[in-house]
Amino acid sequence: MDTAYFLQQLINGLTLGSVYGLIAIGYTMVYGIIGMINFAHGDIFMVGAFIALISFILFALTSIALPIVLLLTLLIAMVFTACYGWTVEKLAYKPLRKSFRLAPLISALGMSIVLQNYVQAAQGARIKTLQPVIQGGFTFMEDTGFTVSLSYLQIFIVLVTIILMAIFTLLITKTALGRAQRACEQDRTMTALMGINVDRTISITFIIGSSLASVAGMMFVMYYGVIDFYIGFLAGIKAFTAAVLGGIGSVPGAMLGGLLIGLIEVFWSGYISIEYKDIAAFTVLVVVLIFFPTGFLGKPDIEKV
Amino acid sequence: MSQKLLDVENLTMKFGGLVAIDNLSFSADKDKITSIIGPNGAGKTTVFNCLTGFYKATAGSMFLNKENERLNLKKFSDFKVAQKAGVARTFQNIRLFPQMSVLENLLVAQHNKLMDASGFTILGLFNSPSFVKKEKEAIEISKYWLDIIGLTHRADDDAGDLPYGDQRKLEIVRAMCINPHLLCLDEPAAGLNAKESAELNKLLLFIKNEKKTGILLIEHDMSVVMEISDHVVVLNYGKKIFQGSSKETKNSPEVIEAYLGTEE
Repeated sequence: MDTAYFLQQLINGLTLGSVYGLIAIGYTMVYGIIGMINFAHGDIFMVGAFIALISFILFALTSIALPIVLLLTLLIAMVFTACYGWTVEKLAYKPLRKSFRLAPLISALGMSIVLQNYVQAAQGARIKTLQPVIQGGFTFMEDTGFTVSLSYLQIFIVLVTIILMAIFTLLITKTALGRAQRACEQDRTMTALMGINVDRTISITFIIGSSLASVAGMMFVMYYGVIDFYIGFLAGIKAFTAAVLGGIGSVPGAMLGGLLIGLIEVFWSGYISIEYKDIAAFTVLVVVLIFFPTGFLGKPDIEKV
Repeated sequence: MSQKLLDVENLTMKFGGLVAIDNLSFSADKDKITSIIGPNGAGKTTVFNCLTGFYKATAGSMFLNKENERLNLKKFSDFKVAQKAGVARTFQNIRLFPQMSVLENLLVAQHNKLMDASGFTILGLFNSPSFVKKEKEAIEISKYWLDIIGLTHRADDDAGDLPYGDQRKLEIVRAMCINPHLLCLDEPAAGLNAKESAELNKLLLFIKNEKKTGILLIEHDMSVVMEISDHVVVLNYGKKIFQGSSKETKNSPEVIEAYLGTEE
């Protein structure tokens, strides 16, 4: 029974961790490139969840096969949410690029409130529900008295996360775009003098981060089946914790941090107290900030001469 | 007479009441090294900042003459200076991308053609043949330059781990990877020892003779200036006080006065 219970928590933790990891990448990439915490990113995730929900409901009226519905919803959520992310960057951050460091941060908090209220006004304040889209799964260890279940949905979530993370790791390490992004992280002036359009590179970073967050949103609405306009706040803060835990600025760190936060939260709920599960994540944030400010895979700040 | 590559006419730059550059005119040739010298605070770096769009000149004009077009450098700023006008520059302090490999530093400088070939990254992700070919070419160009500065064996090391002198040379060849018409070097010999300075001279002469790239050089190290400059412009308090060949400059009383002061 104990092993079975543990295994179940592990499965649930990995699923939740995948969602956090996808959001955390957006935080870490934006921090890496412009040194700013994009506090509106959690709300971009929420917008992504709503777009996925609306798209699922519209497709439910048609008779398109499930795999195609999933793929189309994924694309629709990514494209529309990317537009939101791009617009937020253009409206709220780009005009402040040469301003003092706190200005875009305050602007981000403002954008977060704007997005929440916009969705509240447009979609209503009540929770929205979605019928399970992917049903069924495997069960193991029935004879131990605790049945471990691994749903198809959980497999789907983890698989999509792994595929997307592989694609984006390739993008950052192998392509010209990724190289330009890393160059911008290190020296934006010099990058511009290499003939690289820095503003465009930053915009693309927001687009990538937002589309990954929208995938997390889609997973969230499929997994929990319930969303409202406020989910972005808590999920955003937890993903931010994940990014800090992994080392902010490091993309593999964000993935690792996401998984760890997911596991910590689930194991805390499973073994200690489900009411205080949010406390677990924030305790981790505090402890990490005090004892390992650079996180697991973060690089220590290099003095610029 | 060969066509001038760069024409700077009556350039003036004021910061409030301070006149950093006062009515400066000079020109630079395509296959010549033009040095700008002067005591500290003479406005040398300000000239570079005007040329590369960091500052908007208060008055005057700057034209870059390519084969068949005449570009007004005032109209270029930010990334367009390198991408559209073909002006590359380095800074007094080394500004490589220290956490990227030596090779990657040179590839960043070739970003635009790679980005075009990668079809906004999508084709690049799937390794389309056209992108692979372009990337190979870019690596070949990088290797060519690394070979010239003798750093081929360190291509995969982080640029920040190179010795100081090698970083200086890498920075210059990185600027060359943009394929510029005009290369602006701000004190490239600062902090180099005699041997490294000599290597630097060789590299700059190679760029001038083989690549036919115009070089604009700010330098305090007179061994570099006197040895390789074809033309010297001397500034003091933002004004041009002398121009001529390096030999003429060395013997000019105005220049000696600006550097050493007059005997009372």
